[in-house]
Amino acid sequence: MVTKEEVKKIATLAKLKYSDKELEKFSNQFQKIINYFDTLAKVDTKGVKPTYQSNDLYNIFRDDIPIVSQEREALLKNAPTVKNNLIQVPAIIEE
Amino acid sequence: MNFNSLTDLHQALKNKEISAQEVVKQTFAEIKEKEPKIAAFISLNEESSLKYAGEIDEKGDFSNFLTGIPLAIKDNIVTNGITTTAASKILENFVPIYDATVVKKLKNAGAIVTGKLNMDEFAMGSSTETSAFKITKNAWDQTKVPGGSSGGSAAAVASRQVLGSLGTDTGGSIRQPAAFNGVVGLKPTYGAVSRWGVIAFASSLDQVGPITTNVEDNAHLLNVIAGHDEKDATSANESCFSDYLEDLNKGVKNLKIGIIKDYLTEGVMPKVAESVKNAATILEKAGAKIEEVSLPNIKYAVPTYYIIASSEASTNLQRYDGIRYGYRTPNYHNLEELYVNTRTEGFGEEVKRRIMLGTFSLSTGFYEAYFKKAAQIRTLITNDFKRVFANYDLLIGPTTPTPAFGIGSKNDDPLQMYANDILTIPVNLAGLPAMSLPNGFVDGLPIGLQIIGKRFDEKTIYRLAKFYEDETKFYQQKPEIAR
Repeated sequence: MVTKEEVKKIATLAKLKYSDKELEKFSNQFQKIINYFDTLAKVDTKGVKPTYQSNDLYNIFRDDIPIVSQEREALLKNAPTVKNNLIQVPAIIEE
Repeated sequence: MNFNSLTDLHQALKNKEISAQEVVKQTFAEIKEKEPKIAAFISLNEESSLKYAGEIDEKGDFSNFLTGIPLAIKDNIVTNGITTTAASKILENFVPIYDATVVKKLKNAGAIVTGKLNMDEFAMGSSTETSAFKITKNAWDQTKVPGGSSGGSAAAVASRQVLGSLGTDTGGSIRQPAAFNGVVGLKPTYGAVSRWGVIAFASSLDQVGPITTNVEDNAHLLNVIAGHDEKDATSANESCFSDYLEDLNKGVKNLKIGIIKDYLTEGVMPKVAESVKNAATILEKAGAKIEEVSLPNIKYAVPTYYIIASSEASTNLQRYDGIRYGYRTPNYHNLEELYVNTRTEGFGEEVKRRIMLGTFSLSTGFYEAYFKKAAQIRTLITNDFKRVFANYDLLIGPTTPTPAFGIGSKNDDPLQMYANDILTIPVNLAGLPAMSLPNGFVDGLPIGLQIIGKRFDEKTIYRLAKFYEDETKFYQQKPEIAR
């Protein structure tokens, strides 16, 4: 059973927020999906190696050579707010 | 459009029966006429398309297959200077400063990018209804969904606004909409097409692939977009690639084809199952060897997929924090609030649900029971395929359990929506190539035949598909809007 409190905790980890009203409907749906996931518990996977990717590639290396990938000006065009040619963000150190 | 395929259009351009500029003008006229009904595009690129077509006409060299040919791109594939949203509010005003490798390859081959196509937000959905911007309609019946997540890519081709498009397929997102719209859609082998510049959903499953009106066109497009890319660390080595047109006309004689028994039962509409058996009969008559095969672990594919895809999505989508690009909430007092409110306001309901499911599956105390368990079952599913592919060249089954469902009919029940992907998901988990090919109609709506191949053996998929297409001519039937 995933409680509403646990759903809130997961939302905090995911940097999301649900209002109390939304939480009611969402927790219910969430629980149903987790119950569905739980049907996998019965599958015998003892000693089975997990698959994290489907091709057989392993450690692709390249030479460490610096290149210009993009110009600063172009990159800053998509930033929400820019000041003095830098991305502006709220202060993280208390005054 | 007066042309039915890229191949026809290429011939006309090559023979100078029509200029690239005329083609582009005609294309945008078609788009403007059909879009009010279909709503496949998020943005159009008319001005630069016309300009580029002019340059192409001036050069006058149409020897390349794609030169002067208008195509359209799913909106989760970045295009230099053209807004790319992944159908999300969080990227509503995002203008990329580079082209994805696949876009670069199409442009280098002379193709014209006419616009960006609607999709489920971040490709999370099976109906294109989770788009933050619009609801795309099925080309055959505008009360039905076009499928998803590449709903725009399939509907635009089926309604003949463009004759080719790119989609992406993480759990069926090319094949299912191709089936629902009666067009040809291929999900290539994992690693065959570069993911560089493709907005990540689930990185171990995502692949870009072509959607076209016929098989030959599809192989042409794959020839252009496939290949090694050093910018994608999961890209396959050059030795894995070949000319996808090579075996096109070899027929099906002596091909060993497995018909997947498990794909014909649970939840699959009897008429859909029947269509696959009919296909098997046609292939058998032409000299293919057909036998029933079983993949016992695919019954676990849906929960396995939703755990793995959601987990990967939850980490991939962490980057949308309102700092460097994309939407930033106006409502914040500190950095934490900026993050939380940006994401809460910027992401839609389904995307948030997937992030939550993924965060849960990866979190301390649940990782072993969910993410690791799913990754182990992924191995079992992959082994099922390996076992049957030791004895067969190809596998066939339906693409979807039913034809297209009604707009709004599955919105309230995520589990019902997820279950719809049962027949397409296993292929992504195993990294195999698979196609959806038009296979007739059920209740007036198109359905698809799914053809699954061995890794990097797209060539044999095209071989069967071309034979079957010539034999049945289903592809010649067009929806009302395209007649």
